[in-house]
Amino acid sequence: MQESEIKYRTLFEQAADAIILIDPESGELIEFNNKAHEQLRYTRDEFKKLKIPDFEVIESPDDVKNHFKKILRNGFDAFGTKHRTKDGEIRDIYVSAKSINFRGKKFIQTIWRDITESKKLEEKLRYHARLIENIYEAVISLDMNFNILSWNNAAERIYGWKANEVIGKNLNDIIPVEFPYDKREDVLKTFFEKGHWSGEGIQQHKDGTPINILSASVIIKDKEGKNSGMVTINRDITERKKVEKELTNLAKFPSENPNPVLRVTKEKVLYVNSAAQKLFDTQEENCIPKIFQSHVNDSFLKNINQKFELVIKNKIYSFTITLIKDAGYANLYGIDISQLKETEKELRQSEGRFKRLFETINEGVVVINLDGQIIQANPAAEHILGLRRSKIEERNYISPTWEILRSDGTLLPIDEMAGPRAMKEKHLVENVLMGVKRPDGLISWINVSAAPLMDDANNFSGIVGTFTDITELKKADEKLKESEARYRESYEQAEFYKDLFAHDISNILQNIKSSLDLLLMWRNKPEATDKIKGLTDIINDQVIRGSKLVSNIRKLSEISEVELRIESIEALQILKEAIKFIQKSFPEKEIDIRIESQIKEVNIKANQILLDVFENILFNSIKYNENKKIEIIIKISKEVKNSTKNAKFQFIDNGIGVPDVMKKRIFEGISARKEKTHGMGLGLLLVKKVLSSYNGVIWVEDKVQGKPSQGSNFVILIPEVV
Amino acid sequence: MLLEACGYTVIGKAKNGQEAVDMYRSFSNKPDVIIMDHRMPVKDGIEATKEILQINPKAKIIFASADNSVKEYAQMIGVISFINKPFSNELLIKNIEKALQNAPYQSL
Repeated sequence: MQESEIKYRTLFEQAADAIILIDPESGELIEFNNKAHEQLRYTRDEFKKLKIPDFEVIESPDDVKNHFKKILRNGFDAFGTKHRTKDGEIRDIYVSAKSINFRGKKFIQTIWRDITESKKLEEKLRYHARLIENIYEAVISLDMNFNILSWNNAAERIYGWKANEVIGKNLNDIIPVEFPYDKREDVLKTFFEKGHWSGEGIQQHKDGTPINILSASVIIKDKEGKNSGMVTINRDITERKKVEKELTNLAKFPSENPNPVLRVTKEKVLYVNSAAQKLFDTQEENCIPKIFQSHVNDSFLKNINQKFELVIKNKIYSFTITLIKDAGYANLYGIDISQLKETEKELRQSEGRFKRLFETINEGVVVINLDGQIIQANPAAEHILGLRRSKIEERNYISPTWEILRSDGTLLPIDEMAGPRAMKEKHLVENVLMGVKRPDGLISWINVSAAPLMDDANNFSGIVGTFTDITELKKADEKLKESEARYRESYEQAEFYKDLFAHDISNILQNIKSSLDLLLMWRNKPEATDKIKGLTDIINDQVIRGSKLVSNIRKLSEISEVELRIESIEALQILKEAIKFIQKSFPEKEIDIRIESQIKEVNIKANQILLDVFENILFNSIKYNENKKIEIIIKISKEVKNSTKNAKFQFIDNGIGVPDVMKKRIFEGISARKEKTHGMGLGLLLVKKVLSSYNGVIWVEDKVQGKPSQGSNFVILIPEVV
Repeated sequence: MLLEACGYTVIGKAKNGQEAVDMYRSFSNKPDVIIMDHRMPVKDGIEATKEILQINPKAKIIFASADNSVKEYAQMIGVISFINKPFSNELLIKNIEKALQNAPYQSL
């Protein structure tokens, strides 16, 4: 018994965990082992006096009491809590508690295990895991066969593979590595021999994009020192490599630049590329070449960047000095501008030639921008349009102040003008005839072409209009047309006269011929004496008629060719002469011609051809009269017509009269009579023409109103001399 | 004068083509022969000829004109003969005689 108790006591006292027996009613610690008080750093005697709430951190005294009740009820509980040591340290304690019966009373047996250190370790492990997950670099753990064991967030980001896609798979299947600077076998050799390796490699993103990486890999050993796995930490250095490459290129640039590049201080050359070496025959550390020394000095002195040109070995260079103030040197960048200078020179010459052409050309040239504003006009444009250049350039090309006309004199609509059409259609519009009203009232007729203008980028930028002054040409053309019209009229007139003459002459000759034939037939027949007399009268009449015909033709031609002078003529005198002539012309006829006039003197605006007018009217009255006694009354009076004072002559005969349908037609001119002539003769045509030249008029009425066959009344009005 | 001297009776003289047509229409006894001038006022010989022939297609019309350009047309519309002015009395009489015989006479 004693030995058993000693054994159990030893087990109790020397247990690795604290064992405590608690009276749940009083909370007293009835029995406890060494570990219990040692764990909390109390002496036995000190610890004996304590109750759970004295060192329990998490639960309150009431919580403890309730917990005790729970344990008694359930019989068992296990939980984590915290205890405070004597010196105030908080320890993590894992408690196993059981309800036991001892001598009829319930007690709680508790075993306390201090898990503070293992918790710390656990926390540390969790912390490290979090660290690994959130680190910027990819952290990949592998077994010794390169199978992937872990894959952090950064690995997912860098490679595009999710952890669950790759864990368990071989690294070389997912992200095989190329070593740009090392041989693969050397890398592996070093890694396995030394247990670690670091360097650069190239892997691929899941989408195939190459990734430059900086890798540090290490072999993990277990407690026995055996290789248990490996960890590789990879950083994505793709961007850095790009920048390095650019920098490298930039660093190479000056040496590759075909143009001279130098770096100089005030005194010497710090850097010179091969192009500058050849050009200036200089090296680094040499003095500054004399050719640009003054420019360098000037820049340093004035602390300014400069640009200047130098002629070296028959070429022209443009140099820029850029001061790097803080560093105490300046960079010189040169460029060969010889070709540029040559091109500029050619351009200037070309521009000069163009300008000269623009200024001296006979055609008007205007340049119009996209807004329709005239931005340039040449001297020829000024001359043609009658406007100073500054005035032209103030205007829009479709400004209503331009009065633009068609060739017929009507206003030309904007959409028919050359400029607007070219602006709209963006192609050449040629040969548009336009009349432009000048400020002096004259019209310049121009032939216009408008073409689109393109800028350097080949974009439509406006139009250029060119125009030729064809005013004189147009006038000449119009004169030609007038001349042609006059020629045509003259030709038609001549044809008409010829036709009429031929007809009248034929009739005259017919009458003569018939009469002669009869004369021959009756010449030896005394009984036919009266008839013979009649025939000779007929022949005589016809000869007079023929003679009058010739005279009229001649007079008509004269009037057509020459504008005869109008003067003051005393008409009565002329009339009397005409009457005398007519009566002498027809001695065989009984002709009674009387003048009825209150006016003693009639002064009119006329000329000597008035005699032909009166003669023709009288001749007509006799010709178209079948009466034995021919009666003609001439009434003279005055009449105001259209505010003009006229002398009025009325020739009233007892002839065959003029049918109503013929009253106007007998005076009609060539064009109306072109188709048919009606045998009224040239006489009245001559009368009409002559009277027109006097601003006079003629018309015919019936002698007796409504009865044409009883005779005619030819009425003439001629303006009086006021 | 000539026609009467040759024994013909002149039953009418018209001053123009319209008068000729009206006169012809008005005759109850139509003339045997009509001597038609061409260049006349109001209505010319061609038009007058057409109208008279419409009234009486058998009318005998001798067309006399100085204008030879209307000869073919005049013949086409049905004149019995065409004589150019100035013509001799003899030619005129011969054409009248042939017309009365219903035979067209070719003028020289």
